[in-house]
Amino acid sequence: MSKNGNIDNFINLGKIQVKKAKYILNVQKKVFSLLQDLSYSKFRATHITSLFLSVCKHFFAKENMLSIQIGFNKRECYYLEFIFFLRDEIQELSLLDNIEKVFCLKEYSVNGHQGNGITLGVKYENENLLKDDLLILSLREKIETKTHDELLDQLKETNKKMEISLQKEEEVNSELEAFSYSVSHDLRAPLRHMIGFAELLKKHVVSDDEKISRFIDNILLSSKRMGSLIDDLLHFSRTGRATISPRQIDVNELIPKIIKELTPPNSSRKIDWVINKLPVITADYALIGLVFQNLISNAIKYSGKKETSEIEIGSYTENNEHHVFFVKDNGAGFNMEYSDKLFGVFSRLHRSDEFEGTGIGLANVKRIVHKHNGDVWAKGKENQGATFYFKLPIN
Amino acid sequence: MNNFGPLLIAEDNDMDLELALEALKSLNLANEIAVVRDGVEALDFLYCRGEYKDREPLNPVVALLDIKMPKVTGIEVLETIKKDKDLQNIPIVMLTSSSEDIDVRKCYDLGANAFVVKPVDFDQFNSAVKEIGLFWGVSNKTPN
Repeated sequence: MSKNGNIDNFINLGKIQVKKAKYILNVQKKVFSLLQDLSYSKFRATHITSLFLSVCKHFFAKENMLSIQIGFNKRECYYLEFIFFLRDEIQELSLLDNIEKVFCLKEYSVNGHQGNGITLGVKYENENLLKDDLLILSLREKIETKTHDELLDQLKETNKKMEISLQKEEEVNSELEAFSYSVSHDLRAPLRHMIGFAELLKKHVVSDDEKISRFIDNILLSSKRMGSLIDDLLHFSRTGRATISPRQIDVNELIPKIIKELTPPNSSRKIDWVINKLPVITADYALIGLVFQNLISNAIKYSGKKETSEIEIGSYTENNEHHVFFVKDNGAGFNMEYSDKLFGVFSRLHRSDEFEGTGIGLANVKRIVHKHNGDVWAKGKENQGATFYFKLPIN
Repeated sequence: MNNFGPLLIAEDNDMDLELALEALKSLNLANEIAVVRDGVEALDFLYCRGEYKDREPLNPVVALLDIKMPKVTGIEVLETIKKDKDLQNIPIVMLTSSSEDIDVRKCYDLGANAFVVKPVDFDQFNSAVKEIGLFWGVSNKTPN
């Protein structure tokens, strides 16, 4: 029997509060399940638990409240220890005597006490291994095996969860696929009919009442707008499902192509372009092209009421971690108070008779940039232009 | 050079059919316009059987097939036509509401001659149908 029991050496595995003797059964259950958690065999766990119960009963003869901590002794980790914290100071000797009398078995020992705590150690595992180091070895093995098994179980569990979520994702994706297919087929058809027959009506109705042709035009206008909303929504759902295939992109080469696409040669618009030196990035070519296309076409659109549009495209690096790109214009700008609405689906800060649009472009930009682990934001002031930023991780 | 075989249109949707017929009518084609409402009827027409067993056994100058039709789809009709050596020379134009491209490849793989997405815009729809009618009904020459 050693008397070096020290609370500092204690690796805590759990604490049980016992307030009344009648809860002992609960404690017994807890101890048993704890031992099973520690991979004790059922036989072994039952054995230790019943021993533990005897100790509890013994104490409860004198005490009606105690808390029990269960753990390993750090230094002598082949002892599973129970520390009984008793309410009152107890005569050390008498208690130790008592315990020895009650549990006069070589398997367990009273390791000592500190304050009003008494530590009961239960020798761990194999009785045939008499040498302490061998015992430690077997314990370590046991712990390691357990840890290994645990890790393996955890890994299996995680894999299973991942498999399930992957499967769910695939299900959701194919549902979305079916959804957008159905949207594009089934929603467009009635729309085509509304437009088609309104056009035919327009040709067939000869009337002096100008209201009639205006009503027909209104039907056509709304139907066509719905058509572009559906198309944009489909487009948005497609970018959501798109997988990123990164490649090297020289943004210096990309920008002029986009500008050429967006500015018809016979346009009467006057635009002053400032294009700074831009980096080479690794990203999805089509998707990042879409981001620039959206931002640049917005800059053209929202500066359309100025005599001369000024559009600047540039970039800088942030903490050597991100490339930050910006597209700046001198157009209609926006109130920063509503800046959170800029990137929402179908949310706009301008009426469509001021600036046409469906409100999906920037939502698309945000989605694409987020897919690249980047971020988007904007700065602006009403009637004083807007700057749209997005950043992409350098690696 | 005119081919006097019929122009076959397979379309299950009343309204699309009416719009297409309006557009075709304005072309004043000499060809008969034959209308079938699903894939089964289309095949009956092509093989001169069932309801069409007494028709003049002339292959259509062109067949416009809507992809989504009840019973037998346009794609299935296309597949049958292109496998049959008596029918495989009929030019086939696939019609669809969707620009989603999953069907496009399949149709071309099966040997479709054209693939037309029915535009939402009526003028575009009108000119698409007219172009098909004029090209296949008037200009195109298929082997006899």
